[in-house]
Amino acid sequence: MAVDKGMPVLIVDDYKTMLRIIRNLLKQLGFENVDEASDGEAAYKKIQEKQYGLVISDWNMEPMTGLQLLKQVRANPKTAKLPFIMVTAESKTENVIAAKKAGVNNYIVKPFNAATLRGKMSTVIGEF
Amino acid sequence: MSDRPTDTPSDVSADAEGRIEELLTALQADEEQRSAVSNELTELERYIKSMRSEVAALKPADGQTESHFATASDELDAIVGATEEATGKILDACDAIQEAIDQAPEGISGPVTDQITAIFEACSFQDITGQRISKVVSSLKHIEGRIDRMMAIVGAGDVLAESDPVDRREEEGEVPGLLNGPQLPDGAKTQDEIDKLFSDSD
Repeated sequence: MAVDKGMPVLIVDDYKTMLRIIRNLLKQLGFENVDEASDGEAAYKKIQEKQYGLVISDWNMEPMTGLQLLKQVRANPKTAKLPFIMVTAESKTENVIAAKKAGVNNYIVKPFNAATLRGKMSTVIGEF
Repeated sequence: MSDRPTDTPSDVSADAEGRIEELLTALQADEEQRSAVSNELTELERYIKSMRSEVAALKPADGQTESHFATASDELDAIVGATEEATGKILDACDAIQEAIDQAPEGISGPVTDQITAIFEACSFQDITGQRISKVVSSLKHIEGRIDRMMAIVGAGDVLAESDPVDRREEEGEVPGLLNGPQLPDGAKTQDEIDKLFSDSD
């Protein structure tokens, strides 16, 4: 099934610069329906209000981290299957395992490029 | 429960020095037999005094100038702020170029867009460096906490902090050519203010 590039994508990061970079990379990949949140709490609120096709989230954020957001999303039956990619500088094995156990669909380590983002997105939401 | 009063680390240090003084006085009565011990105790006393001064110099007393740790943390925060601002300007420029090139033929806009994407990718350094610097600031605060405890143990808080020998040499102009580096944003002068200073001094 073809991926709908018009689907809403939520990007979550506490660095404005990073939000801007990811938004631009998504635009280059043809995804322009993008919302932003600066931490897990704000993101979870948005997820409750709108049906997203994909969440791309940082890990290190306050007050709610990306991992906590992921766990909340998975714990809610309405959003349990929401595609979720973690994008973070945390590359320790135990972190990757923790995210995987919590149900993350894929994991991108910063810094990354458009090709990596495209590859991981394709794995999660299908080829585009 | 013990009835013994709880001494602070500073009291203990002062008490130890008092006892050393008493011992020294007693030992002086029979100096020939105990000169070796006396010398050792004198050295020990000198060492404790020296250590108190050194530790006190690490962190000035309250109300004096900012500690080295606070200054370092501020400088690092300024680095994060400056790189964030610069990155924002680079990305603004990229957006402007992208907007201008969007209407150009594919043969031109394609390669330019690819390079703009490369710039965006490279700018993620700001996030990484910001996180690394935050870790360094946390480490500095941890070290500062440990030094506070050490100061309490050796009673360095009672010692008037003397400036570091290196600082003194700089103040006295013995290290020519060394400047303090860029000022923090709050303390920095604008170019207009500098220009005014120049014109006022004419």
